[in-house]
Amino acid sequence: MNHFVKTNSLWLSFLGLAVIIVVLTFLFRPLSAHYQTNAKESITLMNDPTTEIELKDLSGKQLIDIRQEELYSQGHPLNAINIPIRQLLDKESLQLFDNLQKNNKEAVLYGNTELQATAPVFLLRQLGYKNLKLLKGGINPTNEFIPPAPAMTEVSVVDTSSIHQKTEQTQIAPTIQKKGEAVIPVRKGASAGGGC
Amino acid sequence: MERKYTLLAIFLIVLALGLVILPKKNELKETDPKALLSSVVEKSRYLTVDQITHRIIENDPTLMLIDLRSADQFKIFSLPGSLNILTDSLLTRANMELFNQPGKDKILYGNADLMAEKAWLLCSRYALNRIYVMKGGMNEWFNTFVKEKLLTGTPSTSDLDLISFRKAARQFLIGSGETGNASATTPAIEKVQVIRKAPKAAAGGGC
Repeated sequence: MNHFVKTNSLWLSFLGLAVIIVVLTFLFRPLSAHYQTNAKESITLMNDPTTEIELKDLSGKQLIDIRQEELYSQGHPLNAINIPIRQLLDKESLQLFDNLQKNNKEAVLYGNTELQATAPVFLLRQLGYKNLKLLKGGINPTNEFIPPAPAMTEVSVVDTSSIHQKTEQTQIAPTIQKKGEAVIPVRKGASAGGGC
Repeated sequence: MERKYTLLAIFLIVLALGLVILPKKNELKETDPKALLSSVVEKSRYLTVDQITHRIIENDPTLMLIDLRSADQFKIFSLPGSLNILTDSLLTRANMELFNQPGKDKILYGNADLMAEKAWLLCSRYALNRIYVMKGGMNEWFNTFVKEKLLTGTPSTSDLDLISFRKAARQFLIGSGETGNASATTPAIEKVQVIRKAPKAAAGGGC
């Protein structure tokens, strides 16, 4: 055995070094966000109706308030954690999301409106945090959850009967209408002199 | 000698295992998640319905409207010049080429903001440039131009200009399309009288 080590000491050193590099890289890899979904999976996530959660289904879920600290400090639900949008991908936030996922606990993100939390939730879900949900609605300044207004949802409020899609009509350029000014066409005067 | 080769092979295998922990290479260029989150915080992606309508009327060649609503809704009514792209086919090769057209502002809209917001995020993830969202979507456009939002308080000159523009835009884009609300506030257009000058008598001359 000693003979083997002595004759191959150089190679064994290389091998040991490689093992150490791999182990250290794995142990001290930076905790950063990477996309876990490809384009096709992301599109599926985009249209996934289970991402959204109703106000009545909040019990047992970890609430995450993504508003600014000032707004959060003015009032928030009792068990809500404040992570402003800019800090959602910080190391501590990612650790929290990891822990929630490990414990099979769902978290619901909310902001002033549903729109404020839509992009952050969609981004986090693409990073693999499928346990994160989006609240349908938002929270108002008096610390009350409010459902979204119909016009703010993807339900159409367009009353097609009041729209007559233009077909053959002549288009009128939308300039500001001026009051009835007299239009005096300038005509060339008659020739002053004769001639044959 | 053979032992040395064996050890070299083991060395290479160990290094190859290291590759397993590296992130997968993606075919499409992607924006870093943190950079994407910073873009989310900024609000520069939103364009108002007034801004977009102005550009439609001006026939802005850099404008590309992408209607994300269903084909049925698109068929019934959509903004002039819009392309209907369903979210399922947002990142097909053909649509990616469309989004990559240089010199075009791609404006996404749905019925409201939510679908367009998600589509914007996905396009931005894949580093597509000049992608915008029509704030409020088609619902906002309808409420602004067809239903006419009522202004509170005494309107300023700029408010009156805006009202005037919206009325003209409605007529331009959807023909009459007047609702009870709209017709009540639309003033009658005065008839422009054409006064013709009588031709002067010829001063004289001739054969």
